[in-house]
Amino acid sequence: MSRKINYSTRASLTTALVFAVFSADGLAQSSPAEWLDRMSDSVSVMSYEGTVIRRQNGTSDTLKVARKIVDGVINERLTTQEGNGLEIIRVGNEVHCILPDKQTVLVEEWNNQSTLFSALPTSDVRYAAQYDVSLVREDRVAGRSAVMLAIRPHDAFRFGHRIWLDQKTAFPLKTQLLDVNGDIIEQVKFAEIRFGSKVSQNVLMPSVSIESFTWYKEPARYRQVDIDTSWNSVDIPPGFRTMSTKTEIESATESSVTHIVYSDGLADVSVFITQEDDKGLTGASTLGTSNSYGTQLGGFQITVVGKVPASTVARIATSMQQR
Amino acid sequence: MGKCPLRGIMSDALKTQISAFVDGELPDNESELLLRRLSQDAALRAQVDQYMAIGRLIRQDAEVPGMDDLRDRIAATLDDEVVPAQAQAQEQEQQRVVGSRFMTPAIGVAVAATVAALALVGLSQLDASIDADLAGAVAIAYTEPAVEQALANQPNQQLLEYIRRHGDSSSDLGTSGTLTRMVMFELREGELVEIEPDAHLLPVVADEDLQDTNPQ
Repeated sequence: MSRKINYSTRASLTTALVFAVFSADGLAQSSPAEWLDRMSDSVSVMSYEGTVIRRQNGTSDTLKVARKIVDGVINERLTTQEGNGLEIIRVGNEVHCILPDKQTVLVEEWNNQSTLFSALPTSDVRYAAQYDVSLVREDRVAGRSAVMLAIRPHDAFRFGHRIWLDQKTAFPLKTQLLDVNGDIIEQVKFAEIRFGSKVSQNVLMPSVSIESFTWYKEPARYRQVDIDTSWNSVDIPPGFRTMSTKTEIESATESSVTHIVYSDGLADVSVFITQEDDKGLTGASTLGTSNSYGTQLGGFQITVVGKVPASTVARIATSMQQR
Repeated sequence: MGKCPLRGIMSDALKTQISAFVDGELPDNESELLLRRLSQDAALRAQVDQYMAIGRLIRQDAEVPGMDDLRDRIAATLDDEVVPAQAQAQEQEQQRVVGSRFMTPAIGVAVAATVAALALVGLSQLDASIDADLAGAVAIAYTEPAVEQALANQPNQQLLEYIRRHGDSSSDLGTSGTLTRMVMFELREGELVEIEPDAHLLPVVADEDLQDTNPQ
């Protein structure tokens, strides 16, 4: 398995660019799109260590996060500060979930460049016609000067975002996810953060001795095959378009699920279609900031999932038809 | 590692008894029998604690009021019945498992890990997806309409799998995605494959600070 990611050159060049370009009064000099571009670069290449407070559904968690690129390989650690002391350590594409109280390490492979803690919209939002992106004001977060960027949806089929970007690096210091009423449904905020040389390799290692722990890996649960599907939403909310259509074949049962992904450029919605059985969801369900809606049609179970308002998943689910 | 520790094997009658006890509605003679049974069966005590922990999550309560009484009385019963030779060992065990006289250490920490993982992702009503039988048991224990409604609307394991796959497809591996995956691991504990440790996480890498790019 290759843990090497071609990050070294890009990281060094982009980091240099990040610090060369930014001046203290970025709010006046840069457009929202430029800020988002720089945010993407910053998130990709910056090394940092800090404390994140996440609030969701009236509860809050405190997480210690650290990230560093070592010889082109992304190293990250996320440690919960409450409960069981869960630690999640990423080395390249390998993610290790360490449960100190269970003396267990669970290993998963991620073929994904997303950062561990990020709950961010990507800069692709600038291509999304269904949102307005604007710089709102200057502010302070985690003791640093920041600019607040607002991403406002044009309608009630998607959530809004606010992002506080570090003035000097464009690193996102705080993000909020807003429902259709403008209420905050999730907030991720750095209480404190240190960049660059302050990050020691030690903070990326397990904080507990794991030599005697038992290690586990989850067997592959399914395999994917690209397909052309006859299923389609006939009343898709504005701006959403098909991103992918796949058949996912369960390893254990060889049964298949059709998986269609729609996106409006910022929010993604998945549609899962399978043979109807008694396990299927009927109606709405909410899990964290994700909404789901299930319905049955002609012997098929249709389940729609996404970090979008409940009305969006319901509309998509009830408008799915076979050509 | 065996099956998921949340797989309950308590009988409905026992669940009903515990529910009645916690609500203060169990007759004294039955209470005594219940306490005696629990005081003599560590595994059963652990199951009851799991059961009550799940109930708390579904109710979104910090604690069930009658639970303190149950825990205290079991502890008192245990104290009464411990013979001197066992007392010292038990005291040592209690020192290791601070504040958890009710649970055996091995199972107790497993419960704590699972509950903590659930709580972390804010999935305080996730439990119905863990085990339909156990969810039903909780409904027996707590018959308030709100609980039944909550159970009816909760995601089952299939839906959790879909949420995870959605995360796979949409790169949603942020705080929510990461910890939701953790919950999935917990739920599938019995399906995991044991592997050899990976040496690269052991502390052999030399400390190398980054080039100083601190903007401040």
